Amino acid sequence: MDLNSHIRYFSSAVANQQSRATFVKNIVTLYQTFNLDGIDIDWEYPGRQGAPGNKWHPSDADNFLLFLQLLRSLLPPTARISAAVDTTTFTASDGKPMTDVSKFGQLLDWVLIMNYDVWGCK
Amino acid sequence: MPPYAAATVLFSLLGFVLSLSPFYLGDFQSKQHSGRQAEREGNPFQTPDKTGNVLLAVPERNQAFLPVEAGSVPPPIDPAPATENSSAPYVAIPPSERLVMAYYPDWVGGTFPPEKIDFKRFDWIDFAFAVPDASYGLTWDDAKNAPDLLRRLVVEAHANGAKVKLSLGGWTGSK
Repeated sequence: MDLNSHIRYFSSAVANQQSRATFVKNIVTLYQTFNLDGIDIDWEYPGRQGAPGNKWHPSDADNFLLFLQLLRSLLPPTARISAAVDTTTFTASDGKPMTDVSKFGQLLDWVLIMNYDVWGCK
Repeated sequence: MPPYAAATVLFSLLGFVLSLSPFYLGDFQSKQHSGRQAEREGNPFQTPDKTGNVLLAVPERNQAFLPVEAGSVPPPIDPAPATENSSAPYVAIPPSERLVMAYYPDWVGGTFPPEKIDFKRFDWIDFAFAVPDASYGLTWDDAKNAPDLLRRLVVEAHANGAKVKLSLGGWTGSK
């Protein structure tokens, strides 16, 4: 087993235009290969490390938005996109919770609030 | 307690939270969704089509749309035509729609295979997890079994009128 297999490379996968294009193309391929109806993003968490070993960057949340815009535009319009989220908004580049996430709202069909994180996990 | 009570309460709350979100104030045309909500609640404004899906009539584009609190009955409106056209624009889900969703993690595959899921209880299943790798591709938490499990899950879900999302990410140590 790959010792690094537990690391979540979300941050680098959404970091720039090229990585986002590759990442989204790979997601769309999986979507089609498995005849899926939607994609759920469970990134714990943009702008913070979350589990030890995870990559992260202060621009994560901004890049995440650009990633979602590209994903939305390349998946079929019937595809649903959801995200599992913290009980605060995504962490902005200043390290604080974002004050306006309405642009995410235009792209996500549902959010799942990980309420259990109030007590544990992070 | 009725079997759906807990989930209904949970998702009513979620629906209420979503209805507060400003982006759900946008306009909607029409959408298809599974008939489970109608089956459970007998919503008179939903009509199953020949594929077993249900068309939910919603306001025309540019028509004022106010989110209704989860569980309330939408006003009667003329049914809109189905939009199976793949070039149709993306249309968000109205906040009044109540759905039951659950994760299906690959680590239960051995003891609880997809064929044992009672799909009457769920509208959507999220398969957990595929994981982004260092080359911006996706790997599986359980590369040996996950692809086969997901394939079987989709076949079973679709045969029973439910839908499947693939969940990307998750938390280390969750298995």
